[in-house]
Amino acid sequence: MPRHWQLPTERKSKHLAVWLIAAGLILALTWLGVFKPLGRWLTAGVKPLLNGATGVGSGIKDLLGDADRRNLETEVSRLTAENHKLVQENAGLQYLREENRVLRKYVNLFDEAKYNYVLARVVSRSAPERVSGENNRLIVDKGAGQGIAPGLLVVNQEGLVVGKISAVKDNIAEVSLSTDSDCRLSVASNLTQKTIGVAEGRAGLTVSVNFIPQTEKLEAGQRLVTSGLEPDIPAGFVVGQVVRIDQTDNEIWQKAVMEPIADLDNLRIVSILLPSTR
Amino acid sequence: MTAKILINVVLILGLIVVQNFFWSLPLGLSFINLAPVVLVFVLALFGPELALVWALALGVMFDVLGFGPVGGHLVALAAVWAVAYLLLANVVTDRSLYSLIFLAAVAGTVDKLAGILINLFFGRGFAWGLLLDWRFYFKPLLAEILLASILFYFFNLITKRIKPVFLIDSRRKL
Repeated sequence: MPRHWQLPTERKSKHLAVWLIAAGLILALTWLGVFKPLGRWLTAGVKPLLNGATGVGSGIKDLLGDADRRNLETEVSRLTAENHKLVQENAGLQYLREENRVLRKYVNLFDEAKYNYVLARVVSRSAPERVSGENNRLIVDKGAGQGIAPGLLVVNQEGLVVGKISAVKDNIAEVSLSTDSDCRLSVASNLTQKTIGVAEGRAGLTVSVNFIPQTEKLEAGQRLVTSGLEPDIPAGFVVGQVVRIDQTDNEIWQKAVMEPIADLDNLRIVSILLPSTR
Repeated sequence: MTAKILINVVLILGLIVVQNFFWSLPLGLSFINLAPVVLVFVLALFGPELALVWALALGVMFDVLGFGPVGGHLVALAAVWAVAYLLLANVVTDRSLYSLIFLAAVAGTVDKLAGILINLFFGRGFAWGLLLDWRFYFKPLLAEILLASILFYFFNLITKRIKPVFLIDSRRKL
C-alpha cells in the first residue's frame, strides 16, 4: 500500500504538546473573560456575513413556501372568513377603545401606553439546541449597548409575540422564540384580561399553557395575550391561539396547548420592547 | 507563512458562514453540523497540529458568536479532535472513504455528547426523552455520512492524500 495513504503513526510531533498547552491556556483565558474585547470585534466583523448567509437561507424558505400551491384556495377562503369576523370584532373594539379613552381622561390616568422599542435585524439562528435538537433561538444585532436586557418582550411587525430576550452580549442578543422551552410568559385571556396561566414553549413546535385554574373556562380558538404580570413586559400582546384543552377533574390545574400566531420561521426584523422607565 | 495564516483564517470564517446558512434552512435541515466533519478531514489530510488549531479557532468563534456556556464549543471541538486523532492514529489508520465516514460519524456523536455533558455541567438540563427518539441520532448521522462522502470525493479531486475507493487511476501504481 502506498506510503502516503497511511497516517505516519510513528512520527511524533513535539509541537503537539505545545499546542495542547496552548489549548488549555485559551480555555482558561476564555473562562476568565480575557477574550471579551476580541469577541466584540469578531462579532461586529462577522455580523454582515452571517446576515447574508441567513438571508440566503430565508430566501430558500420563501421560495419553497411560494412553490406550495396545493392549499392556497382553501387558505384564501379561510382567511377571507376570518377577516370578516375580525372586521366585525374590530368595530366593537374601536367603540370600547374610545369609551376607555374617555374614562381614563376622567380619572386622570396616563393615556395609551407608548412603548419604547428597538428594531433589530435577525443575524442568525442559534445552533440547534443540543438538549432538544431544535433551533428555537435567534441572534439579533442589538445588545446591551442599545439598552437590551434579558427578559424583554420581542414582537414582529404586526405586534404579535415572537419570544423573549434570553441572553445579551455587548452588541448581540439571543431571542428565545415562544416555542422554546426557555421562553415562559404569563398569559391572560383576551376576553377577560385576567392572568390564567404560564405559557412555556414545547419541543420547538407548540406552546403549553400550564397552571390554569379549573374554574377558568377556555375554548379552542381563543386568543391568549401577555398579562402584564411580569416586569418589563406590557399587557395585551397576542401570544397565540388555544388549540386544545387538557382538563382532568382530579387535577388542581388544567393545561392547554397553544399555537403561536406569529410566523416564527421567516423573521428578518423584530422589535424589542424596552421598559417604559427607560 | 502570512499567506498560510490568512488562508486558514478565511477558510475558518467561511466555514462559520456556511454553518450559519445551514442553521437558517427550512425543512428541518438545521441539524447539519459541519464543524466536526471538516475537522476530521483537516486532521486526516493536513495533520493533527493544523486540525487542533482549527478546533481551537472554531471553538472560540462559536463561543464568541453564540450564547452557550463559556468555552462549551471549545471543549466540545477539542474533544472531537482528541477522539478523532486517537482513532486515526491507532484504529483506522488509512484515509479511505470508509475510515473517513466512520470518523465523521464518531466526530458528530462526540460533539453532540460533549455538548450535552457541558450543558448538564452548567445546569442547563437535557430532555432525556430525546435519547429514545431515533431522529435525534439518525438525521444528524445521515447528514454527517453524506457530508463526509461529498468532501471525500471533493478532496480526492484535488489531492492524492486520500485512498480512493471504486476509483481506478491508471497513473497510480498499486
